[in-house]
Amino acid sequence: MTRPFAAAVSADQNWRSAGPDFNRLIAENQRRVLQIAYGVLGNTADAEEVAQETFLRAFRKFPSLREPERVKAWLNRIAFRLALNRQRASRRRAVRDTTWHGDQPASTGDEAARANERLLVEQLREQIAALPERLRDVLQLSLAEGMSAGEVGAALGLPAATIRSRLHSAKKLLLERMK
Amino acid sequence: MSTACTEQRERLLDAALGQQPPVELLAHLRSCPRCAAALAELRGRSERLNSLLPLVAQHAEPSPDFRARVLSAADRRGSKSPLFRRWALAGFAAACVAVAAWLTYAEIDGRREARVVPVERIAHWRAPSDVFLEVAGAQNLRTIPRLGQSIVSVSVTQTTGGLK
Repeated sequence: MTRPFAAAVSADQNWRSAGPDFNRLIAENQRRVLQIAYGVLGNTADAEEVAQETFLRAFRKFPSLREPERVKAWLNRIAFRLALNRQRASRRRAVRDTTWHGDQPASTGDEAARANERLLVEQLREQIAALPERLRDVLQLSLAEGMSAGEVGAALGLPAATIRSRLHSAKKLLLERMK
Repeated sequence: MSTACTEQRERLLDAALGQQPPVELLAHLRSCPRCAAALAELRGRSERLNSLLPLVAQHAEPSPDFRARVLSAADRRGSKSPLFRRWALAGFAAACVAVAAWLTYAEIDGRREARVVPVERIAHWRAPSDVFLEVAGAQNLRTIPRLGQSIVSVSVTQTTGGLK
């Protein structure tokens, strides 16, 4: 008979001593992991599925994931790869999220401004998608909140200086293509 | 646009993105109002870009029940422990190896069988019991010893001469 996961985690002292608490791991990383996936996919439902799969993979690896910094880099890398895989698989039926900020009450003027902003973000997303892969990867990963060049580098296996340089090149290209 | 302006294009972009403009660019900007205007316009674009970039990802928030869903999914997946999965995988791999070995053996055996012509098979046929005769002293076993003779062709009288 199997114990419920939450009970298993709290009761299993070996797991506790093997690494950070899984529950806390989700709480501390869910926002960033979701944003990494969303930065690639542009769709909340898909991004949540990717984020969930990322944590389930972490769950399997949990006993061997010890150092918090490496766990973070590992999660970032897995989330990004899963998002890219999903994007490739569903490129034909790509459905962009158009409901964001929709939960906030707004006057007609705000509505128009928000619609315009949404349009600009979508155009920007398309421009990002058209960037060369080595620049796009760096930019997409760095879009998630609080992602430093070092963290992006850790996820991609590149030095922070390379990340900064590629980020600059990516922005330069975007700047040239912006109207 | 002059050649000098074209040469400054990269530097203009760098400056628009916040890099310190090099001396050459500053000198060019003093003498070229067109590039100075271009830099101002690029700086405006850069500001817009920097304000839009975070929106590409950062407005996304996990739904309130996200953690509960992950834990529940982990529960479902975790019902089979990693150890169980490892053993199941090992068992499956062993079964695959066994089947592959059997198939390979059957294939080789089938080929060997096919090579032997039926006539040859008959010519070489031997009763399974012949195997037992292929031993030292087999000839002795092919003859029936007479009364008083040993099975190893040594007369009883020779061996038991002393009894006469």
